[in-house]
Amino acid sequence: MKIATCKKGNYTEFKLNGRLDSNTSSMLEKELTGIIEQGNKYIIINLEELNYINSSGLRVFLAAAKLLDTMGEKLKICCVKDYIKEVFEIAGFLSIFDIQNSMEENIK
Amino acid sequence: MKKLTIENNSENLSKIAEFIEGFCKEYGLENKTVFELNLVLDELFTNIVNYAYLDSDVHTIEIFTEAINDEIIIKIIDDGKEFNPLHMEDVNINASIDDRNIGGLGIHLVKRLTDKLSYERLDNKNILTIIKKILANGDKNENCDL
Repeated sequence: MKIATCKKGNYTEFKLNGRLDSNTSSMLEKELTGIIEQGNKYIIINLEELNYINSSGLRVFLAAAKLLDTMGEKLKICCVKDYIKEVFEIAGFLSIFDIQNSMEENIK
Repeated sequence: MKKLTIENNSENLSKIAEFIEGFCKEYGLENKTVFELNLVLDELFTNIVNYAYLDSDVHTIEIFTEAINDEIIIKIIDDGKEFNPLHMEDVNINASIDDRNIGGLGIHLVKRLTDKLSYERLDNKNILTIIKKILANGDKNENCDL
């Protein structure tokens, strides 16, 4: 999996490409918590290029959302493929994350 | 019936993905089914590799697949310690973010993405049988390169 990070206004965007699974989730967790712990609470995860996710990937998103919750923010996730959105739904994550269809909607 | 025999090493996940893709291609199953079967086997295999063995020896895990009428039947057999995923407590997906537990999601996904799960312990082996109904060939889903 590739992780590209960039600043867009107040937001930090994480663009994920490939597979978020047991072999790659710890890499993402490190980067995400690192950025959040520096005080960046506006986070968007762009999943346009993400093809696969398993429970270890879901756990990373949940941990980040919990961290942001203590700062009064929701984790924003955008551009999720339908079959991955279904996994979020099954996991009960649709109410925990702020899920948007596009990047633009997110940073408004 | 097709069979895959693999060792308990997380690097073998890609072999499972290849095996499932081959099986799905043969039966013309749609991408969404390929993704869901991969996810189910990923969660179960990863659980076995991480928790089933108390020693650090090499163990063999067997996976059998077949399609009968409109059902896919998958059997996973391991010689690890007794573990019945059906006895796992359900995840409360309606809990607030504060109360959501980080664990237990894998088995929750397995239960929700399959139509029937059954477990037996036989000759010191865990035998888990999964049944998933094949969706009628309707709308094609997005491509997923797994």
